[in-house]
Amino acid sequence: MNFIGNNFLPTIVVAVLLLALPLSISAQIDFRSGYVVKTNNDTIAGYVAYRSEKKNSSVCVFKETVKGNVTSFGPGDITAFGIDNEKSFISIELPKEVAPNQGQVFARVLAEGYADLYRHRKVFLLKKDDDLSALPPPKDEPYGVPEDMVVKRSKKYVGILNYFLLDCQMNANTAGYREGDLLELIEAYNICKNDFKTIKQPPGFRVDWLLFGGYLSSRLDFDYLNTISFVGNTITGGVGMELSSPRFFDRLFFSMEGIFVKNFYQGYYEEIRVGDLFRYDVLFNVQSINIPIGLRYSFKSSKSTPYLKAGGSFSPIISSSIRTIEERVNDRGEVNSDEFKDNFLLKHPKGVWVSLGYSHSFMKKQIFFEVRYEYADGFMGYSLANYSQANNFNFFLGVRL
Amino acid sequence: MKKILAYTLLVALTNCSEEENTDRDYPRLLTVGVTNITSDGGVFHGDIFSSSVAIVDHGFLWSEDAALKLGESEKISLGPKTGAGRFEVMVDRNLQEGKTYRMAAYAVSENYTVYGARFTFTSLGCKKRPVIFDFNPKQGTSGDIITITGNNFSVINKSNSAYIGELVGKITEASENQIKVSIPLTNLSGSFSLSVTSSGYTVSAAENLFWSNNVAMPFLAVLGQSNR
Repeated sequence: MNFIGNNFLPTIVVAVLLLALPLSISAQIDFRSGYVVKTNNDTIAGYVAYRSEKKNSSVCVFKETVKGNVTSFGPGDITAFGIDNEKSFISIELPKEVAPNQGQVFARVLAEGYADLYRHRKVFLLKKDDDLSALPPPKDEPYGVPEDMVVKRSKKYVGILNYFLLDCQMNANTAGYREGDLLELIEAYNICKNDFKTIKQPPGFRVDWLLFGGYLSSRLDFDYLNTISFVGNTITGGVGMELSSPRFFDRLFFSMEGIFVKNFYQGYYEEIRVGDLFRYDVLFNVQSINIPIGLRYSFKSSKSTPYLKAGGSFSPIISSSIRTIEERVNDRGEVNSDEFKDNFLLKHPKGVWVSLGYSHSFMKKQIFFEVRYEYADGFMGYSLANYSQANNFNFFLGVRL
Repeated sequence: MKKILAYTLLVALTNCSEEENTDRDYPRLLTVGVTNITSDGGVFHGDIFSSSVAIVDHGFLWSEDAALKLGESEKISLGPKTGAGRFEVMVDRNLQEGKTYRMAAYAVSENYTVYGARFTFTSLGCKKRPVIFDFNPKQGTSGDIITITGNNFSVINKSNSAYIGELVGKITEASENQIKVSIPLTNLSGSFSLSVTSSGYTVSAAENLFWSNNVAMPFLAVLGQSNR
């Protein structure tokens, strides 16, 4: 069965577009169960849009019911909002030394208790006794007279924290300007003060493993002296790894896969030389590991979502053999056959790819179906020149472990 | 689910795509090679991997020459064949020890003669040597054609030599079972032994050839002397 016939390629492109269009429209906003706290301290339960930290720092998108009207709240409209069991944000007035003209913003709440720790984009803020102080990010600053100037790394946040933590005989000398370090420090301080509230934070990093099988329909076009089109279809299987940081954004994943491909390509060309017809059948067996590396973007929450993946790929060849059968037909009714082996230079192809898939929860696991298009070098060529291109369509069915 | 995917992975690791053979208007074949090369001969292998036409003959050719062609090379015919498939035969004649040969499979359809790729091998000899059953006529004179019947002769004229006494006869026709030789011009007469060397093996007839010559042509006799 050849999926890359004259009609299949346009058909699948149209199908993918038709599939992607409604998905992309319907998946514009990922609403999750949450709440907003109004300025009069009333808490309204509903659905809060899960968006990037940057977008959440300026606007809260909210609706009370699944089909309710969507309302956007600025930091001046509400005092806080949150997504259940994930993240909560509070409206604050940014200290002037951090952002002189920005005014009120939303900051993510990292720790609450005797002291609160917030994060607004790349700046950490500390609140104690209703005093909000910004922890200035470290930066290189010049020191000394102009003739003998040196640049030193300024860590003013360490000094501020040391003063802040003095009553618990703690210091921040070894703390980096990182969420993990600062959170650990403030939580320890709140415990010391016996006034702390546990805020469940999504994990900083998460690794998901994938196991999948699929079908590859590949067309390989060789173009050097002669033009040969090869078609090869095969069953594939692979494993993958997806790395994400749910604490920052749980819909973006770094993805890396290893797909075992054992394919057989068959191509044909003919030419007329010295009055005889030369026919060539080229038979190409290849085993390779296709290694796609890229990003996955999920349109919705991780349980059931369409997703888009894209990236680059590399396919080292494990083993290969090429056999060419030549048939020289003359006008006397004679056919002289010959056979050549491994008469093509081969290389490890590189390529780019894009996938559209759907992931769905099933028996406590996530299963997924994915359609992938890859445009890559063919296998023919060598390190300095590429003599072939491949158009590969993959269909995968798999599970996230 | 995991079992299904693990099974798919296993299939992916072991699956093997099949070659699709395109039919042409002639049988398509490959010479597979020669195995079991011994002092008795060797087994020749061929493969008709695609055929949509009737095969009226198929078999193998071999020769010391690069060019292999029906009528110009040693041949073993296996006759007509229905459809595609591998074939093999033990070749135990016309192979001289230590000689390097080229062999190829062949197939003949109504409109085409197809030759497979040439395969080179070195022979260790063969079981069946040439034999002479008889020759006719038993007596003759210069220019007469003697027909020698026997077996395992080379079909290639130049691979056969016929000797009448010490003189070399000219081979005019050769087949596996018969050689026709022209008596050289000479002024000699009498009873002479008749022998044939085919593919390096020499065999003599049981009877002598009686040669009567009335024409005196000593210079031609000199020209016909063998170097044996």
